[in-house]
Amino acid sequence: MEVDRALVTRIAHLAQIEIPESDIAFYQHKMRELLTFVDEVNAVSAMTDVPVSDAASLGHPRAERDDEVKLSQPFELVACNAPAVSGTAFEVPRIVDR
Amino acid sequence: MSFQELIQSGQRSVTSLTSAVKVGKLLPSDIVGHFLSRIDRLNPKINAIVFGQGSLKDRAQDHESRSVNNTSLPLAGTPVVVKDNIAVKGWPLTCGSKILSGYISPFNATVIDRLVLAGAAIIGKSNLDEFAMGSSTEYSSFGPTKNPWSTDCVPGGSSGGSAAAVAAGLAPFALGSDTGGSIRQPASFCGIVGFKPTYGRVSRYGLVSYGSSLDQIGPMANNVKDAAIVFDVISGHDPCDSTSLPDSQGSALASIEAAKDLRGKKIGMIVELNGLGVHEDIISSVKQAAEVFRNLGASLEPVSVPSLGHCVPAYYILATAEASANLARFDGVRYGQRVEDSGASINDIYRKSRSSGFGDEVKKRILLGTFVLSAGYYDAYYGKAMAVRKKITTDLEQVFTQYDLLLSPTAPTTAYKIGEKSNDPLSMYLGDICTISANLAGSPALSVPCGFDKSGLPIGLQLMGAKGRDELVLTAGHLFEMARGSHGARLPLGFG
Repeated sequence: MEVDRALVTRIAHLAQIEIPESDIAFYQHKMRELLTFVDEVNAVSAMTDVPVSDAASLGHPRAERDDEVKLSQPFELVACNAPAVSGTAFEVPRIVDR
Repeated sequence: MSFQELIQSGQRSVTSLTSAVKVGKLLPSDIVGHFLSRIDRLNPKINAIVFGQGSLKDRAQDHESRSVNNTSLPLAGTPVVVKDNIAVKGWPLTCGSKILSGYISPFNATVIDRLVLAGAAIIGKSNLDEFAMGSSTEYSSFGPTKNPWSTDCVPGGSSGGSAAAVAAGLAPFALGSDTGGSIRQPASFCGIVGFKPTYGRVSRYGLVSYGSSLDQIGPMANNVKDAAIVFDVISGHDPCDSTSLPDSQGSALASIEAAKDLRGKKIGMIVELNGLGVHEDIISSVKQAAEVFRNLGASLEPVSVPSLGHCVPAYYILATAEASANLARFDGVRYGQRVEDSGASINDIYRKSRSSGFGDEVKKRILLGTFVLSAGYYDAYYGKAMAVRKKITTDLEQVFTQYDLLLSPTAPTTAYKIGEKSNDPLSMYLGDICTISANLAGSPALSVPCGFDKSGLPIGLQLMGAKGRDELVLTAGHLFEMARGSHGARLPLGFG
């Protein structure tokens, strides 16, 4: 499949990764290479009669828990690695205008 | 026997150390001190351990003094090195990434709690490919780890630091994590034992997620019996992990100690993983290993599972898709590195922090994962990869109705030169072909040393079992090791 600059820019935006203009060609090449590689999945999937809709069940254990409030880590422990804390909140730039 | 004599006689296994502690021949603090001094002396040659020296040594000794006084515990006085994507309270947890530089874990992973309760002492954290994304331990912000058998070569990955540390005698055992072969392939490259348990047998709580439906923590050790002892300690149900299986009644150690041979067991040799693309020295070693299994009473025959030959592309779609979601949490807000210009918006912080903090390989995989999950491409890539995964799982379930175990090489090559595959990452991805299917299917799989190639580099064979048959896989590996004569006690040249 064709990987153009617009596609790389759109995916990088979705992934919240900034790619400088000078690096777009590099990632364009890398993504083209990867997509050519994983395109084999189309040939292999023809070997299987498993409908895509049935494929989500892996048979892995999946425990259901009661919906109840439980104690978590104390905030000071949770926040000890935060770049910026204000009171009991993580500090970020203002998002909503006054 | 002095400690030095014990080590020099090759007895640096978990079983020999714990036995010496139990009868009072060795003190736990002597053992920890000995391995810490080996780390000081030998780690600079291989860069296997990234935290554990300097001031952290004191923490290790504190930890040790609190936990190993009870000499009857199964791991009394036994030092352990932990891959740096597993949380140890009060220790750094970086995943080999700049984005987590300076992060100190506020809690223990469940496996760490279990090791400490069993008397083990954490003495270091080991290098890895950034966020466990790689097969060579070259993609780490700490620089590459080197293979003790040839320091020009990679140790494999992503648990390359753990594998190299055990192979070089810096610790009697280590923990690794395995998403597509990251315990077994480095174990094979470094000539040690590596075990990936059945998905759900070992809690993932406290393991930094890469591909959550594939990740599993497991032991890396000098021999299979040691791996079984550690597996018995770290496995079991954990309410903190919603994918944790109920407690098993089995004990791997008991199974190993009761077994005499493999009479009545059927072993399939996977045709697709024992031929094309596999180095001739490896094919020859695995054939010799097959004879050992025959002499143990097992019957062996070739078995074809065509879907296994095509597992790699499906794996890279699924693993990167899960990684793109899991790594979204690294945003420079709650923890980790923040890059912020004055007047920056929250989105600027996200993008700049992530772009500056993640390495190229991680960014590439996040981009691929984001793409395969994006509108318009989901069905064509993620959906089809899930169908292939289901096919592989079903095929293996079918094969395991006829065979007890599957035998193959662990990897198609032995360790390659550092930098050799840096410009050809796809060939590195294809090197995972033998190991990935066990992750896709959730099966247990073990890598055991089975020889050396003409260059003197270790070769590993892989034994895979049906889900839940971890004890059988370990027992067969142990019997093979005993019948063949283990080389696990031998240290590489320059690491005596």
